[in-house]
Amino acid sequence: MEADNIDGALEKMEERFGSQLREQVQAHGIQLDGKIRDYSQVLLNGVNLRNLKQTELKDGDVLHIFPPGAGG
Amino acid sequence: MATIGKRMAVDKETIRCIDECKEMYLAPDGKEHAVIGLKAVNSVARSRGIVPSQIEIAALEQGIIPRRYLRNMGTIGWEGQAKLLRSTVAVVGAGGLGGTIVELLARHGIGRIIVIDGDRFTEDNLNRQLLSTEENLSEYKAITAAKRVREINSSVSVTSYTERLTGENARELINGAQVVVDGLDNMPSRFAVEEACRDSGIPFVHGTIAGFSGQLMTIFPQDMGLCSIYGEPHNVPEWGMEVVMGNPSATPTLIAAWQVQEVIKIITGIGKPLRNRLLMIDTIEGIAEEIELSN
Repeated sequence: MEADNIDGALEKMEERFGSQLREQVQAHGIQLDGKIRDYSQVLLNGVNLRNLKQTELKDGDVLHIFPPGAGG
Repeated sequence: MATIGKRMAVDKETIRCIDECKEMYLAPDGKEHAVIGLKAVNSVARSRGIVPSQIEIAALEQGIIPRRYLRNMGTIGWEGQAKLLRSTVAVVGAGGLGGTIVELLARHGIGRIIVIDGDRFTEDNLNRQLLSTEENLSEYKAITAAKRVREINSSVSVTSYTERLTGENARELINGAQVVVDGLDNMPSRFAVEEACRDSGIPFVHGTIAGFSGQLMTIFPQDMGLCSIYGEPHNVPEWGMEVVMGNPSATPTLIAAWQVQEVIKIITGIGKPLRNRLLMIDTIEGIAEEIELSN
């Protein structure tokens, strides 16, 4: 996928996978709609979104999006 | 005879008693091993006034395998088993994750287990919390855990704390542990335990579950730890997706079993702990992914 930054990558994901992606991701607790819900875990090359200094992407970057669990 | 770790303080007469009780066991691979049974261990312990775990360690030092650990030998070995018997592990939370963790640590032969949980069992725990039964609803989880440990392995000494772990008491409660294991159900407590572990120089085996997914990572004091997964503590909500998706029966045991494996690796030095690597397991999609974490 080609995108300049994380927001762009999320938009592209929605464009490519449309409502099916949205439903699947939302079923796993992540709200796209251009925004990531506070408690979603998004890692760019293993760095949490909250710890990133910049969100620009380069070739080969890996973006992980997954729902956080806090249960025990 | 190889010495396993530091010498035990058992006397010659105790060694003679252990040797007298040994039997020979023919393993499926055709090798013969000297073993000692549970009743003999307890009998020598009683007659010599020594706790059973010390008898088991002394037996291992003599090349005699306590029969209960026979199936540990091929992987953990004599030396590894003795290290486990000498170790102390704290389990914070005795619910879905913690209950299974305590059970498996006791079966492994961890010498001392500290169980910390201020909650009592409720009916909605029954679907997944291994230690909960219809009979023990409303009992303290930490007390039930201690009873279970004693039923499984009388060589294991267990200390229960029925108070809620906080940033203030965390250090005191985990005092003496070589490893601390995460069986918690909220993020602020996890950050508090991580901080206490860091201050005390103790590795922390983190695990969480939500729905059919779970994740785990081992955090040594010098590692980046929880904030590399979740961000800074003040940004992290108390709860995750488990409030929506719940915790079905199998997920806690899956993650707890792997957390125990991490504990065993840390104590015995066997294998490579999941440090700075988050293992994420999604059982519905059938995916297990390791994510290398960076700062």
